[in-house]
Amino acid sequence: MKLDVELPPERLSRAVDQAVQRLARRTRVPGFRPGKAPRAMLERVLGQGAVLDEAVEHLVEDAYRDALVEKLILPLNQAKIDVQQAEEGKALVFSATVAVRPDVKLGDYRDFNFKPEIEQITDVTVDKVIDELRDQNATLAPVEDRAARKGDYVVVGYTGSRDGVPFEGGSSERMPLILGDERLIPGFEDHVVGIRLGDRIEFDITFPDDYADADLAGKPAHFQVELKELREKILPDTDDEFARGMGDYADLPALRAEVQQRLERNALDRARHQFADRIIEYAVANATMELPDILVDQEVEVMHDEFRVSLSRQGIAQDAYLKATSQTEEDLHKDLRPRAEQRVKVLLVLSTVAETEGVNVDDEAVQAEVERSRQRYAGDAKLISYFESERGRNFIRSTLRRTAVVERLVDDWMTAHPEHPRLPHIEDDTTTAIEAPSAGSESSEKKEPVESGSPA
Amino acid sequence: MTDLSAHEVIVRPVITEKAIDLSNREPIHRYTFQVHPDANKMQIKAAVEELYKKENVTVVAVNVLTTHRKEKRRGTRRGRISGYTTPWRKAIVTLASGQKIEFFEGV
Repeated sequence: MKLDVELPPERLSRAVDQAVQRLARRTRVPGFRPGKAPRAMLERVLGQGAVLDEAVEHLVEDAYRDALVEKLILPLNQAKIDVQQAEEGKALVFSATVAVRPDVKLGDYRDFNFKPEIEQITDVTVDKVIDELRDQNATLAPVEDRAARKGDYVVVGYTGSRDGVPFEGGSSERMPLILGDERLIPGFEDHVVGIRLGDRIEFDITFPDDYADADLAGKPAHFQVELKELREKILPDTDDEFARGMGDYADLPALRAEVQQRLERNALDRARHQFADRIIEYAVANATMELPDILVDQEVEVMHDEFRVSLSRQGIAQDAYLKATSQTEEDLHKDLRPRAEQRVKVLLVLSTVAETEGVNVDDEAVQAEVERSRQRYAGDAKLISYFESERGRNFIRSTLRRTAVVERLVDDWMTAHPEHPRLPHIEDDTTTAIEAPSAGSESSEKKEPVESGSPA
Repeated sequence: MTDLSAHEVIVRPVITEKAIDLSNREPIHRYTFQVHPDANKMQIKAAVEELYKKENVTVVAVNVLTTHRKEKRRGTRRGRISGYTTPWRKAIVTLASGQKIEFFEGV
């Protein structure tokens, strides 16, 4: 978008006067107290045109900002400013080119014909969770009177050699294993099955062709193995006593009921999230817009940063990663681009829907979120000061607004389809209540940890 | 009395806040110059009228004064050193009422 601005000569001469004062204050001219040098002297010291340049620069900046406010333009990037005429006594003419949020033509985003899909929690699912709980609470009892079987917990010591020479990484004093998990090279564990505590065996084995260490892949090796420990996994019986051991449950049915309840709540929450995602997808698919490159580029950068962070969390340097996957940064950017486009689209569509629907977020909600962030990132002073700044607040506001819009769409659909089971927001019921009021608060929180083993 | 050319008489304009102020008073403008130490008022008058021939000005008065040398001392790592500031002669030239010159352009 291009803005053409023309300012009358008076504005320029006023700006020049101000520029003289500003420059005089910060320029030392011999013979004059600071701030007292006349314009002619400033120009001698700073160079012809310095005063005019300063004046034009400030004036253009002010005028540009005024123009943005006046025309209600929200720029997305730094404007490219082209000054066409800057002469004293004449009008100042310049144009500013700036990318703006594109017009989004919304299609339909309400009349979709899909429904939330709630996963049914059956006894089988509950059984599975109970089994997981049993597995986590299994005891490992030492076994002496029989040979090792699949599923046993063993500790082995082994020495691997090739042509009689032990090779690097091929030996271990005590290696804990669960037989059948196949964590070592395929076939290794099969040799251990059937031997007794204290037994020593030797065997030849071939490394698989796709083994990570290229020197060993596909090569034969000789192993000496000793079984040092043999334990059997004993699962607790599924009875009332087990239930009592898991927490404050009177008997097994009580535990099952609690598990069932939690699973159902999670299923509802998941259904709501999936439903919301589908609505977003639907709205985006029906909307038409011209995507400005600048926005996508920015988003690609953001994603690149996120990627770098996640790599460094795994202790990988980006350069090493790129080398290993033989990619360049450009390749990476190209890969990220489609997803960045999608993210930008979602952002734009949701903002536009928010405008159309008149969804607004009040200052208190923003303030509350700022407080929450402050607690969440208590150690990070830089992040906190960002959240408290005007920009940070705007960011939070627009995020909340987008979330609120989706919530609104979901809730509206719910109201229109009273026959469908409610989908509460899970963050409203952290303790026991299943029926929670579906008040329109945010849902950008972390999800509750998935069920498997929390009450222990 | 020595013969001095106009450029030798007028060394340079004095450009300070005070001098600028004097030169901008209406309607009588006074201009301040550093002049040759031996120049007299008649020579200064003649030199100014000569140098600003284009503006065709008339000098109605010349006031002169000498800024005498002054001892300056300053401590360095190797001890104190002392010297003097340069003495110089200043002339304040009054033009006829309403007349002006562009005296930045001197020298």
